[in-house]
Amino acid sequence: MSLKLNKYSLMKNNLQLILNTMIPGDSNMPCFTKAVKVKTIIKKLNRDKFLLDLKKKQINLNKKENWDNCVKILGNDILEAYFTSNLVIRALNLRKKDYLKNIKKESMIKLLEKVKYTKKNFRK
Amino acid sequence: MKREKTDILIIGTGASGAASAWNLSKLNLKITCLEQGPLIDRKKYSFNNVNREINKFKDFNIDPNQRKLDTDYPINTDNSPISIANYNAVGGSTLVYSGHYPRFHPSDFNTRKIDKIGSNWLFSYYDLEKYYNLNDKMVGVSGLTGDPAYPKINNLLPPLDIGYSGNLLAKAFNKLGWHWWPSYSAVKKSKKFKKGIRPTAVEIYLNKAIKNGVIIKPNCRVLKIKLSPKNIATGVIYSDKNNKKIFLKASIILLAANGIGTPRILFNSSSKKFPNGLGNSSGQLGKNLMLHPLGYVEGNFKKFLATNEGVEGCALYSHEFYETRKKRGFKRGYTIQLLKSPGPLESFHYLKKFKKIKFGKSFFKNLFDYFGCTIPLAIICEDTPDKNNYVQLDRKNKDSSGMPGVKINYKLSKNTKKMLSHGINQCKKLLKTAGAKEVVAFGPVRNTGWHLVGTAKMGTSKKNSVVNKFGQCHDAKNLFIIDSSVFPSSSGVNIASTVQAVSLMISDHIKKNLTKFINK
Repeated sequence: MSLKLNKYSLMKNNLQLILNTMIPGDSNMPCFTKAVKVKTIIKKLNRDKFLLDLKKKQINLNKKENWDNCVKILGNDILEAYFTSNLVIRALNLRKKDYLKNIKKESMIKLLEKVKYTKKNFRK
Repeated sequence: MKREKTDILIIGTGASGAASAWNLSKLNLKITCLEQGPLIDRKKYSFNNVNREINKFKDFNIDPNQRKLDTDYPINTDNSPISIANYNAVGGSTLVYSGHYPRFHPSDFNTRKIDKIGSNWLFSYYDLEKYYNLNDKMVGVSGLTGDPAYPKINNLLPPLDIGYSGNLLAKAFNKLGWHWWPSYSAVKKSKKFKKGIRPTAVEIYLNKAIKNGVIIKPNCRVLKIKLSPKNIATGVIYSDKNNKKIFLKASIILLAANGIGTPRILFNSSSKKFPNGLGNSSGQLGKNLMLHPLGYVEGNFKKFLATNEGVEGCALYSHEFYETRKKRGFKRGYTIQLLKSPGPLESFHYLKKFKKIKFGKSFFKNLFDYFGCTIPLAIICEDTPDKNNYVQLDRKNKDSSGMPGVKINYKLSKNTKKMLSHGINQCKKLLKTAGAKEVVAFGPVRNTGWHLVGTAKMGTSKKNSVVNKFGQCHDAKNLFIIDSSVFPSSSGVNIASTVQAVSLMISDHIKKNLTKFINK
């Protein structure tokens, strides 16, 4: 493998680690890189210095300064990409169905009966 | 300067301009609409667009000072607790509106007479009813006949589902014995979206007007209305997309640039004869600005209720506190509206503002404690006219054509402050009755100056008003103002329905009296 390819691969792996630490997923929701390709974020960052640094080494996310920097640089882009991905939209819909299956709605017309006949005090 | 000619010129293609363009398009006349904004592909602003939430923070941000597009003009709101929301494009602000279509109450047309506050209109609800009905038909308004808050409204499309949050809230309203009703919403059904999509002025009126021969010119900003020595409007000077100035001669001019844009053009059309602005012989131009101060109350139910889905603008509303009651300590009243809660992106930004969310392990726990679990309510307060609330030209800040921007000078009245505080307390009570575990409230909300009313009000003479009951400018008989600037009072409901009904009424008047106004 060429050195260039090696560096790209290192950067991609390092970025993937950061992204999945920022949005790790839960029982209903996928982690970031399951929903969005890492390449999408690399394209958005477009040769940012942040990416060049990732070619050299992994970032220690336990350091507050590093973590804040990642949030500042990646925050908006990853949120936008994540919540518009098809997998996440599907996951949100499944989650919704799951949560609402035991909640029942009453008929609106039935609920309105009380309003119809008790309020006559509006000025026509 | 290049010269062009048309019979009828309409300035602005938003809710009011579009309605008149369609209504007049059946005449055998050349009609031209000038719009300072671009023509935008529907897919870009559709509420069904997957990027909709992102758009709200970018090119479709409702605040022109944040959007900062070339087609916007600067609006200085340093002297106002409420900033202005609008959109400049073919279709105007309807590209980003909620599609909530209530009518004014009959009492809104007579506030001075019945409540000794504000100003009376020169016509009644019943004079306008025919145009409300026509507009409802054109728009496709859904709702339910029988609302005790209004005279009978017929021929509505079936009401939209009020959702889980609506159900919960309706029970709370019933428990308290308060009025509520499923809302009136603009709905356009299509094969793809059977539940209906929110139509804009483009689909409702402009596409039909274009089919009838109306010419729409996007990216064309009107700088000045020109007047003959006999006080007849002869045409306008506009700047096209290449910033070239063109004189467009017209026999009749209809101004539909909203409660801020309309006085801006009229102030900028000052001349030796009208040094304080065209239409300003009374000194009332730009004054009496009303904005519908909005209160926001949100209840968190700590369980997922899918409150982020459902009707775009307002699923149900209450007019329990709409009319004046002496014991409340303020005159007139407000609407309580059930809104849709924010989507995941907006939820994140909202929580971030209050430092309630972080990336990392707690991300989803923080997000899902809020997202879809809250019921937001809006309190739309009736604003009353006040000469100290006004719009003026801001010569320091200019738009991309070199035309001065505007400055807003606005304060909440004592009456409105009392109304807002009352509304917030009642909404807290309502949400607690519905079972909310946490309630937050604030108001007035800054970025909610949607409904721009009163700055070129109608009246009986040029001593006290800018236009007559048909929107005809006292200073120039062939110049008509057809937007919400002419409203003498603001009501406590969204204004789109009344804006379009008034526009249809004025254009009907023009049609019937065409020979009187045509400048030969």
